[in-house]
Amino acid sequence: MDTTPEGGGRRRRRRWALVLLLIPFVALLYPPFYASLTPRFAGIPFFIWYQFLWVVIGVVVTGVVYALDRGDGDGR
Amino acid sequence: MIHGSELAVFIALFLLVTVIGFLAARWRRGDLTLLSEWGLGGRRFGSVVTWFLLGGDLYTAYTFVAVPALVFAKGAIGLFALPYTIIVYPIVYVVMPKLWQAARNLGHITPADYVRDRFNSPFLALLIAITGIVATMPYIALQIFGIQVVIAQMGVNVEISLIVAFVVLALYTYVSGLRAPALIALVKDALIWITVIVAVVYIPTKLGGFGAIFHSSETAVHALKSKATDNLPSTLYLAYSTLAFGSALALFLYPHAITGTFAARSQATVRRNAAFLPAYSFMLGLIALLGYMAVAAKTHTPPASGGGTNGIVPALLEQMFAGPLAGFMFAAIAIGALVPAAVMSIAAANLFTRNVWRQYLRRGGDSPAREAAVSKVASLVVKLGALVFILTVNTSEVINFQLAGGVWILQTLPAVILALYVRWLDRWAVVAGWAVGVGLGTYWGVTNPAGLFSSTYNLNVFGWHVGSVYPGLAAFVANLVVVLAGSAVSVAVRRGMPVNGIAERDYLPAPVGG
Repeated sequence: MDTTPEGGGRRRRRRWALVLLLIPFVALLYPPFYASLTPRFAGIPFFIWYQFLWVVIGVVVTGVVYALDRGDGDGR
Repeated sequence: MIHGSELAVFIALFLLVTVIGFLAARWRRGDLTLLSEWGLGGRRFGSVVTWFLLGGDLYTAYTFVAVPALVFAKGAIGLFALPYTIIVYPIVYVVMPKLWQAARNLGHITPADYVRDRFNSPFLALLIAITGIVATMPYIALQIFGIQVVIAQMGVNVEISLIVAFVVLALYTYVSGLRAPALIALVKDALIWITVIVAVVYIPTKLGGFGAIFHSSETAVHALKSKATDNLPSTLYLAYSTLAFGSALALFLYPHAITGTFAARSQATVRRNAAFLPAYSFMLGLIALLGYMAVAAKTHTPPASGGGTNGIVPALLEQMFAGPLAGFMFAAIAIGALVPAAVMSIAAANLFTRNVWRQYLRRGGDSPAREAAVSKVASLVVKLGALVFILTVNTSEVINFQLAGGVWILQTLPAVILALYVRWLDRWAVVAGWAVGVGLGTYWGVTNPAGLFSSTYNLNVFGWHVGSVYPGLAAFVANLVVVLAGSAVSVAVRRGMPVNGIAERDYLPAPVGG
């Protein structure tokens, strides 16, 4: 499947892109980083709106990885 | 007191869903006498249907009731549902397409089918199947509990209503298989999205905005009238992150999650869903905020609800929207229970049929038609069992069983997921790891001073004080050490690779036209 140089390149790019998927783990699994009441957003404590924001960033990250993945032989 | 207009709307929506459930048998018609058709919808669900099905299946009615109830009772710790349902998807993105492809190529219907082929071990497959069934039963029972709390809020006789609702659910699942929850999920999700949007827009305006809501929970905490903290105390940092990480690892080991995934049409369908399912996590976060709103609105937990503060969401909705709109919202929650209950019972039935009945009771297998027939009957038995469970056992006990189920299902990770990547796993090491994980997890759960199967455990390892952690994850670490050490010893002693029944090519997509 990935015997052509182009295919090999895509495969490498895909492997590299998977590292992006670690970003939400770093951002969310260390609570001291975001367990704070301030700065507030529209009256909502930081602890809460920060996590809502990461739902959106999580979608973007996975979406980007998917976009980089496409055409890798299983997009059918 | 019976609330007439609420009940009328509720019953009308319930009838609509029942009709859809039966009509689903004709949707994308397939031969429903085959297990892959009845139990996996013919593996033909595209991205949109899979999104609705998995969203409806994973974000259950019980979750919608229990998460805000936890936030109402204990505050910020209840929000671990957010990091949990964010980081689960990168894991799904990497792992599930590979498992899906092997299942597709080798005709697997359950996760235990994969384990049987991978380790060439029907015994290990049996352990995985039993773990799955045992973890799923209380989860189904809690879906019925989700229906129970909304029915109680409307002042109707709970037992009779539940029996009617569940007999109807059992019948259309029997007839239509996985197609029924897939189609009902479209309705469920529409109702839930409307409910959540209306609730989080309207309730804050009535309470003076989010600033006022959080101000009142902070004042209540300050006056020691409530524990609904807006911020996570430092003593709970480790509990928060281990709960989120452990729950994320466990979610896609549940049979109902794997069934929903295996029903997808392609690897790309699974990947796209990993990217877009977090929309439901956002919704779950909004639902969690209802807990803070209930603190601000001084909502009283109804005495009839059972299980602590679990009646808080229906009580808040009743307080804010009494009338037809509340009926609509209660129907959204109750119908939200039907989708996961149906998928869970199908998944448990498939595990029984494929990995217990076919393997041990009718050795050598049987015709696919007979398999489907056994699974259909098993799905009825599973639902009946769950109904008896919730009606006879104290709700708090059922919740304990469900928490225990989460600890146990996590111990199947080496057999189902690690096995996809690590070729040198030894089946007996995996069995031993499972036993250590389940044993330790159960021991900690039973002896936990914080309460039977409490989600946090004050852990000491050989005199080192770790702190308050999710015991399921701690048990999993012990499991993992046993699996890896045992497999390494096995490889060293045999001077060769342990049994592996699945070749690398079985994980690759079939060639085009092949």
